[in-house]
Amino acid sequence: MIYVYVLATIAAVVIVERTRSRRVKLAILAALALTLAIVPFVDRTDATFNVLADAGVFVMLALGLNIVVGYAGLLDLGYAAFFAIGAYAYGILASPQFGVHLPFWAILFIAAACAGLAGIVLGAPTLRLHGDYLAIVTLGFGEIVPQVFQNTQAVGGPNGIAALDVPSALGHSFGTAAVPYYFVTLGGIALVAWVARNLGRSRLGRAWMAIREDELAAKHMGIDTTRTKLAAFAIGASFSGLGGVIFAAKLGLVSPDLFQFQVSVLILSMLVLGGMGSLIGVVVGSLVLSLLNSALLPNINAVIASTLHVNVDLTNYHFLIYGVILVAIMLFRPEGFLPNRERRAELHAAAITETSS
Amino acid sequence: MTALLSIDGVSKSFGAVCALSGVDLSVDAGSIFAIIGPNGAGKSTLFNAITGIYTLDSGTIAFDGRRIDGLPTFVIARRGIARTFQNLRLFGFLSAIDNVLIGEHARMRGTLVDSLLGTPRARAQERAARERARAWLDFVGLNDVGEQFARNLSYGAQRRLEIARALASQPRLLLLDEPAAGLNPTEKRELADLVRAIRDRGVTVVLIEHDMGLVMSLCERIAVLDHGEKIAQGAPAEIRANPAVIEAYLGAPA
Ligand SMILES: Nc1ncnc2c1ncn2[C@@H]1O[C@H](COP(=O)(O)OP(=O)(O)OP(=O)(O)O)[C@@H](O)[C@H]1O
Ligand SMILES: [Mg+2]
Repeated sequence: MIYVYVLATIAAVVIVERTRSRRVKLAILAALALTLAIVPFVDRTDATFNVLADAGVFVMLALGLNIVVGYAGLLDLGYAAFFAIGAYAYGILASPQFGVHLPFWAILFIAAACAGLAGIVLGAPTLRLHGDYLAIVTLGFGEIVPQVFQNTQAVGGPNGIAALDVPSALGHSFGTAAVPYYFVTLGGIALVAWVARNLGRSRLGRAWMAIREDELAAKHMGIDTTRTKLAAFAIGASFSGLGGVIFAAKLGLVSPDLFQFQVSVLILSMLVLGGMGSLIGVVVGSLVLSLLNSALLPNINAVIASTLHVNVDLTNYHFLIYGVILVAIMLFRPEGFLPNRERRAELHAAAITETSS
Repeated sequence: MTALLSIDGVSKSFGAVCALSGVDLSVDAGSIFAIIGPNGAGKSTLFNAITGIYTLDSGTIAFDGRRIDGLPTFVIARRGIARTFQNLRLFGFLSAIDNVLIGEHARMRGTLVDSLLGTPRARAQERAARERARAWLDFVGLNDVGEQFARNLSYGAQRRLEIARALASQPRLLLLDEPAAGLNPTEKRELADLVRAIRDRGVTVVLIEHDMGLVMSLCERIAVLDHGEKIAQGAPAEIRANPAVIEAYLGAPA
């Protein structure tokens, strides 16, 4: 069933992207929103919504990273750090550990602000660096943040923080079901995608693209490149902070090992798969990769076990499988599956010059 | 007349290469001014010094009576100096109209909140900016190319687009680095008309150019650089008759 939902959603967003009429677009989006909202009342398998809620968090993360990498062209390999900061914000502000029990909804704002601030703190000293150098520094930052949590006994060290508060809305506790989190991520994705779309069409969004294309020329257009890049880091990070709060609340715990380098790579892979810079591409890419790991591979395991009578656990090889997918993408469709127009031409041309030179 | 741009004793070297040494220059508001000189004379370096890409070894640059040397490039651009580049630096994978819209960046208002939320105010401003961008494309003679990628335009069109992008910031001073390079005679004539039209809108133009015919017919004042030094400055007729200039160009005493 889960595949039906996801495929239908993907089909709907792709159609929205391809239609010109604004009315038709809005109609399809409204129908999609309505369907997604009704589904949990029809289909009561909690496992499905568990998987979808997790995937939803990753869609939010990917949309945030897309601001940094896709729009502004800044390669950030430590994006999971901001995810961790969001999650720990919830851990610290809604657990018995410190006896603080702020409401989930308030922490969403606080975490987005904290992560955004961390984005500025990381960005300020590093933005003079370009390309590979920036990537390496961000990679370091991505490693340091979980290490700091790991070595800080106050936040539980390697064990992290457990028994986090269960959020509630309008006086109703979320309880143990995944469906409330599914709704929260739906709302989160809608918000974040809407903001990202506004940004892409704004003065700020164009300034990011100018920097991505030619930083020196951008400066000559009166663009304050340092501030503009910081804005990308801060906004991208704040999306990730939101995702972190939802993730931590749903899991009921946070620990440093949840935010390793692999998470940053996974999110980046989602962008590459779907098409950097393209909202639709990023949403689809992140849905596909999330599902691959949490639903598709276990299902294939079961099929293999029942037909071939061998027990393999493909989820152990998921990075190998991502690797194969990414290499295939790079070879055959370097712009990703659903790229936007600018990035398609650019990434395609870049890949071709590189292979032919 | 008042000097819009005054350059005083500007020097800049790269290692052993002295690209500019003690250059003085003063450009009157409302004029078309040419900088000429052999290859490697330091002409582009002078533009880069004006727009703040290089820090000067010595000397000062003032624009409209205020020092601009030492300021970051984006601040200088916002003060009202726009430029084109010798080797085109368009945003190649953005559409022509987006290139011009980016040129408008400094002229557009808008807070972060406007950008984040796509407020009605932001959208109205966006529409107006788009209108103006189209008008700039028309002004430089580029109709119907708005949606094409900048890099897919013909060479001549790219040169024009770069000028449109520079004009979109509504500068008071426009620096053109070899705008006629690679253009055919017809295109050069059109360029000369365009430059005059720009000046008639009140923009002061400084251009670097190798085509003497174009320079002599278009510009009111000319400065000649050679090996980083200004060897002459004056009206076209004076420059044509100046022995030092003839020597620099022919490599032998006249
Ligand atoms: N960034 C740089 N680093 C090192 N040397 C430079 C740099 N920029 C310019 N130069 C040197 O400074 C000198 C002047 O160069 P510049 O580009 O200003 O000449 P130009 O007058 O514009 O010549 P052309 O007509 O060929 O464009 C040259 O010898 C050049 O090699
Ligand atoms: Mg030059």
